Amino acid sequence: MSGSSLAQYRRYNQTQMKHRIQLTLRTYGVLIACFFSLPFFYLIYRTFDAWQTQSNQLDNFSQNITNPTINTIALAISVSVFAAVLGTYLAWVTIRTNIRLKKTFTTLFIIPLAIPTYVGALGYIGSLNPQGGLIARSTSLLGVDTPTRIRGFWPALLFLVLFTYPYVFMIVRAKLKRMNPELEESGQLLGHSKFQIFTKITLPQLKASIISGALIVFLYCLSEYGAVQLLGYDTLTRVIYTNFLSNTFVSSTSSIFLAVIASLVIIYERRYGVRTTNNSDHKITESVNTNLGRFAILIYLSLLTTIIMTLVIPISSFIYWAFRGYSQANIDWIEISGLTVRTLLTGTIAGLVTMLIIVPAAQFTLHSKKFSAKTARLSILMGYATPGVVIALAIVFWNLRTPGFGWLYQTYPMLIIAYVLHFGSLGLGSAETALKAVPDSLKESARLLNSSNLQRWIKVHIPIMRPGIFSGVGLVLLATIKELPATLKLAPTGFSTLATDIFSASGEGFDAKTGVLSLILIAVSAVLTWFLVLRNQEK
Amino acid sequence: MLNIFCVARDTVGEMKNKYIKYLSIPVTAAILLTACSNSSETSESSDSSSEITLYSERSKDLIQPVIDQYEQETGNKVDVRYGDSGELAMLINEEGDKTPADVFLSKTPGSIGVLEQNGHLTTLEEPTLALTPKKVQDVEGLWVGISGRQRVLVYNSELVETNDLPETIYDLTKPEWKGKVGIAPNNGSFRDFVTAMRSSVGEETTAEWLKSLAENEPLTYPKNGVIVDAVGIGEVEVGLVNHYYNFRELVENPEHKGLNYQFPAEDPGSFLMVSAAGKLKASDNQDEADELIEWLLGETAQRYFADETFEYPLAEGIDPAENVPAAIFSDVSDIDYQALGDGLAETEKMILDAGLRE
Repeated sequence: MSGSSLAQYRRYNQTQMKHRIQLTLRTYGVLIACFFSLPFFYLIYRTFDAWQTQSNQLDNFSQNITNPTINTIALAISVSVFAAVLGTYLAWVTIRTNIRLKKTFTTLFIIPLAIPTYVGALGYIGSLNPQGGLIARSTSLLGVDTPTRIRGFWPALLFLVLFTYPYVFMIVRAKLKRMNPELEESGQLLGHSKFQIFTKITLPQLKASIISGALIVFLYCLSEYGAVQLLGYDTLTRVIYTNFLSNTFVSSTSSIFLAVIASLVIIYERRYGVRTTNNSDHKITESVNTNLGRFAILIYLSLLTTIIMTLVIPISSFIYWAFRGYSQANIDWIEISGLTVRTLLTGTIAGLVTMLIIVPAAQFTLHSKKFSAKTARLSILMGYATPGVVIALAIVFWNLRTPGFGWLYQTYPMLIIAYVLHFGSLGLGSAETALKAVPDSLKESARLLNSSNLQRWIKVHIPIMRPGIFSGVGLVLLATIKELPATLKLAPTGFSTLATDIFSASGEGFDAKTGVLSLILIAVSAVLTWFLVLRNQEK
Repeated sequence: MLNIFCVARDTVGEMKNKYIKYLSIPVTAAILLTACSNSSETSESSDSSSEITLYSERSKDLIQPVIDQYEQETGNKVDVRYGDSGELAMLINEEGDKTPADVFLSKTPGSIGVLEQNGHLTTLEEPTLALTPKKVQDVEGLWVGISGRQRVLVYNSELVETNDLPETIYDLTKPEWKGKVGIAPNNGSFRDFVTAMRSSVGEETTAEWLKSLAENEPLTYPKNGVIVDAVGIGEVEVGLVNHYYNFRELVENPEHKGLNYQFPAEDPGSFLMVSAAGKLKASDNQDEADELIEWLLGETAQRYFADETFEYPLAEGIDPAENVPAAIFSDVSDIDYQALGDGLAETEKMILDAGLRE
């Protein structure tokens, strides 16, 4: 009698505990949704305010906005598709085949995330310069004439794919490592060809991760400005930027328009993207490593081509500039090392804080079907589609107008908050993958052995989530160290990062300094990425 | 309700044990950084000297050396925030009267014009205004020109003969220049030049010129520096840019083939873009702000602008660098952005209508 009532009591207590935790999570989720929606509310306010004071700007509005909008959407979709293909291919090659130097390749495939797009674009344009550019010199050896101007849709597409595929790469890679190879093994036993195994077994399991990565790429393309502007491709962000000072109405409505496009895509992805409920992944086995065989050379060639196009070309320009003008540039190495350390530390802190905030939110958005969960997820993802300048001004607006918070204006914590707002979405994908990585079977056994939910979380869940979490920290870190508009406006006065100093030098035509600082940025990111990738290696 | 807090507290309590290992280092670093960043690279401020904030849309590489010298000479401390053209003006607009800025230094007239339009600036003192000729300061004394950047035509010395150079900017719409002119229609300085042109020759003439130019198949580029590079390698024969880019390119690359050509003074093509300084109305440090602006018009600062960056020093009696020809330009004082009615917006529209956007 007492035995069964004790069991009943324990079950009842556990259910109560579960409900409490769910309620806590939900409250947290709602708060997060409000926090991440701050830029959007700011835009609404500005639009109404401008409408009342500048309503004469409405004419020509639709004419101004149609072309840029079409351009933006076309580019974003194309880039997402190609980046998804490239990222998935590279992830599969580095995890599931027996190529050599996996760690090196993996690191090299992630580093492009560290290069600010406008700097990369400048590097590319520089390499077409017949006087010193790598592309120009190499093709002239072959007797081919390359154009010196690269502008328009195709260069913009190529460029953005090369610099955003790492998002897909990292997320798919994390999933591949965790995937159960049993299904693929069964496929082999049944005599399916390698290609069939890939398309019928591997790919469906990867679908959610690929879509998650592609979504990030899509959102990024919406907010991208520096590179597309250099490559002469007219997008909605151009409308926003060039009208900010002169025509607030146009610029804030365009921003809202951008946000609407982003929302539609996010909602669409959520509805049609596969929500894998099967968590039969378990520990990493020495998985099916496909032997490359006769394709080996081709595959190595493809890897090298990617590296050449994403890294070697821009870096060659930076090296050329650095050497050409070094004597004229007054490079203060002591100042630069302080700058580097500052930048790195900021990025790391931003990464950790972001994951701290996002992981509990992800727990909520992943498992809850409530409206608040969907809104929370939407608002987090929106942060990445919002141009940095809008996020910065939104924070200025809210910071200065909320009583009691004025002293935080232009302080370090506010800057970190800006990074969290802007890059939280980068952490979300990784967090969701990490949370999904905890297999149900493990949860069951843990539940049997541990009475406390929390102990279970700490001792079992978190170690398994670690690769995903570190992946998220890495993404946010790389994004932070190259961020510009928010840093310029919100950092404490006198605080500069590698990105701001590169921007300053490149704007004034100080090529040597631009080259040196860019090389340092890339080197530092390489080291960090290597470190993060090493840490991710399974025991 | 209380139970929820208990659960939350326990959760956080348990979590701390694991996270402490990962968080303690960065958290300590963050605290140190917050403490350090307030004093940044310069020494701690003392109570006896003043401390003001400068928002500069001119870049750090250019301005920081000048500011450092100011701090050394006067013992005053200046915190500088750097930003791109228009971005800091945007910031001040958003900050309103809560702005921490005392002085604003613009790169293009557009920014300071907008600040003037929105009432963020206050009149400068007479002694300050007396340091420059009237034609490079605001009619109402709300800003004063510190250095000047002139619009010029950069040309490839191997591809273009000096006799073939256009006499006025209107020549660029003629058939012989079809497909040979480089412009940067999205760039701030181009927009400023068009706005000034509207003021000096009127709306219709400007709109017509823009349309004819667009029909003459110009090559569009994102920035001035890129145009100069393109002209240097012969990708395009001429380009409308700011004068100093070519001088700086020559310093880094003596083989550069580009040369500057100045349009006549009355021609819109010779527009002098004044980099101006203004005092913020919301500033609590009006006197110190005046002091800084006056120093920027002094010999040391002006020589720096002339020799290091090849710009035109605007204070009376200071000459430009040796190899830089004297600036020839007309009055910029009465380019009234307010009277032009949303100056930049209208210019934007005009550029768009002419079909100069890609």
